Amino acid sequence: MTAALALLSAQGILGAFDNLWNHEWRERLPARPAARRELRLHAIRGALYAPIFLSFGWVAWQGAYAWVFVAVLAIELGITLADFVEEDRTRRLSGLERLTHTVLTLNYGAFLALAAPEVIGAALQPAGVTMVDHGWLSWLMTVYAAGSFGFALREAWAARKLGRLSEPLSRIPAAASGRTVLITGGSGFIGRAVTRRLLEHGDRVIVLSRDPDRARRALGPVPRIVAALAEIGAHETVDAVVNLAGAPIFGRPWTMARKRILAASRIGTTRDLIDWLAGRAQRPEALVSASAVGWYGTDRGSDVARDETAPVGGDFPAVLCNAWEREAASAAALGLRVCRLRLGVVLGREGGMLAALLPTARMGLGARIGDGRQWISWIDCEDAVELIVRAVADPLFTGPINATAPVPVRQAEFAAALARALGRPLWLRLPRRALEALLGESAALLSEGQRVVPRRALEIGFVFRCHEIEDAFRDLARRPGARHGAAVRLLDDLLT
Amino acid sequence: MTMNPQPLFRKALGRLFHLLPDPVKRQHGALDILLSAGRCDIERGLAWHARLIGWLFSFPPAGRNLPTRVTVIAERDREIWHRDFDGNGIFTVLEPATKAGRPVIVERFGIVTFDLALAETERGISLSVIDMRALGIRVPRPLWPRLKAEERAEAQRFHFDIDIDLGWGPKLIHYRGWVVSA
Repeated sequence: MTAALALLSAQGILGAFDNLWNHEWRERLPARPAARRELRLHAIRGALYAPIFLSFGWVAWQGAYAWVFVAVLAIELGITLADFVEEDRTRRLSGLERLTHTVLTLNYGAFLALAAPEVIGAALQPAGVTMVDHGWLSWLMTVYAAGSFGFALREAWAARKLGRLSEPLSRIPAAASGRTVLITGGSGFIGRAVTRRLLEHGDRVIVLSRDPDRARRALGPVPRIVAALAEIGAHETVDAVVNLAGAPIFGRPWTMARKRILAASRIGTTRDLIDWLAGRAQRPEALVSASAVGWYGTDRGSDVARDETAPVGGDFPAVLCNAWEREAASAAALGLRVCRLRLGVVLGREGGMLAALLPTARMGLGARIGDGRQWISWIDCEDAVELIVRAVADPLFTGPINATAPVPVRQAEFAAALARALGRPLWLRLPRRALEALLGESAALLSEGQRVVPRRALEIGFVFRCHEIEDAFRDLARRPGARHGAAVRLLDDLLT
Repeated sequence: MTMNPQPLFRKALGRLFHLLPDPVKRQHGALDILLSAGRCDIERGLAWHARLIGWLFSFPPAGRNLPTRVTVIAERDREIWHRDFDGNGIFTVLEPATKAGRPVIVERFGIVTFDLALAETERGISLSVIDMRALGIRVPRPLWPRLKAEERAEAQRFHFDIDIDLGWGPKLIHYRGWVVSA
């Protein structure tokens, strides 16, 4: 039994690593609507592991009680198999996550092989319950049980909230607008919101996606989803194109391989789009192509406000955005109106930086990074969506346009405002050098910034819903479930 | 609007850069990110030491008429080159330097660094190795690979012909082909 307990200990450590690194940090499952079912399976499995850990730590079951315990072990195995199927259905696992799951499965198998003779032997004896004590191993199992149960609650709550946040796009508007919009990157964080808004407007939406199954799960049955531009017939009218495709720039170190992926996913995709447009007899009126405020380069707190006339920067994000915009701008030669929206940090609960920061901020672990003087040029997700949708139809939206809120903030103020909105203290300081040691060059996304102002959007007459950072965070204080008591809200904060 | 007003090869060649054929100038004149695509033939050395070196440095396998993509990322003081031969990629990093008062291109390939001198040819440029280091330590000349590298323009395409063998032994790799940038 000691050997089986040792394997179970390893299972606990590996399971914790899998939850924290793969599911929380890398994949951010609690923020992904498509992961709702997987989160439920994880919650059930975590809830089963808690009594498994406690039982092996403190209890010897005999007779009928042991058979119940055998059933729990078998159900856990079934849940794990169902989880394998579900995660393969909804996402692509990284090499590390696949390896972790494989080792966990093999370890669990070895544990069952070692524990089975003793458990089945006990099941053949008269029914009874005996308390046991394996010393420090029993206490370790208790810690694991508490951890499993905690994760189970967290994942169950997250699955429940995802159900409230994400309305399926199943409404078909009563009156169609008569307009067809092609969108690339439509299943991403901003793309989903834009797709939803276009559908609500009555537009026919075609979503180009490398993974049509995943896009269908994210977007529901209404928008048409194509895996290649060739699937759109030459006879089909496309009135406008929204180009949002691109691998996430934040979250992974900028190795040479990653930089190539970031470049290919933006510039290569945009080039394919332009080549396809060039081959069509019918061409859309407008191309609204995403870019980013990284175009201006970064600094560590200069007060210089950059509008659309400011020069391009020299670091990697500037290089990337410049090449991306140059590619998009070439569509003008085909007669399209081209609008290059330089998006700031888009704040929304369903993705992006805010979704990544909320879990730690809710635990009171929000941090000031370095001296906190670096600027964050942000924009509320609803405003970003509104800008994109306006740009599709309004001929005034042409050339580069900064998609940032009127009042950028320094990172220290951003962190303080988020902490205030959540009712949490802000006491952590994260040294810039530590961040750079951890993330390398990509740390600049957090430790540096740029102060960008939306001069052209304001001149055109665009009205921002959120001017100041407190406006963007106001909704955090009005969460679903706010009508419940303080205990429920605290539990909500801790678990999501 | 540029962030790299002097591409590396322009720094190394000076005024000669402007005399290069357009496809060669385009391929070496990236100011931000340049994507090119084309085709390539690859021959690999068959001797055991050639195959070992090829494995250590992840040389692409041999093949004919392979789809080829080249990505050049021009950062402030360096260029990252990614050459993809039918899914098999190689990264190198190019930086400008001056050796004995002469501008050279330093190309880093894993733990090995080459100093390359450029010379203008009738239809483009040629490159030759003038120094080599491994993990920063100078490698004796007899151990240098022999490089015959030519880049030229033909039918508005950028053509490359890179032949590397061990000065003291057999062929390592010979790849030749063309790419076109948009």
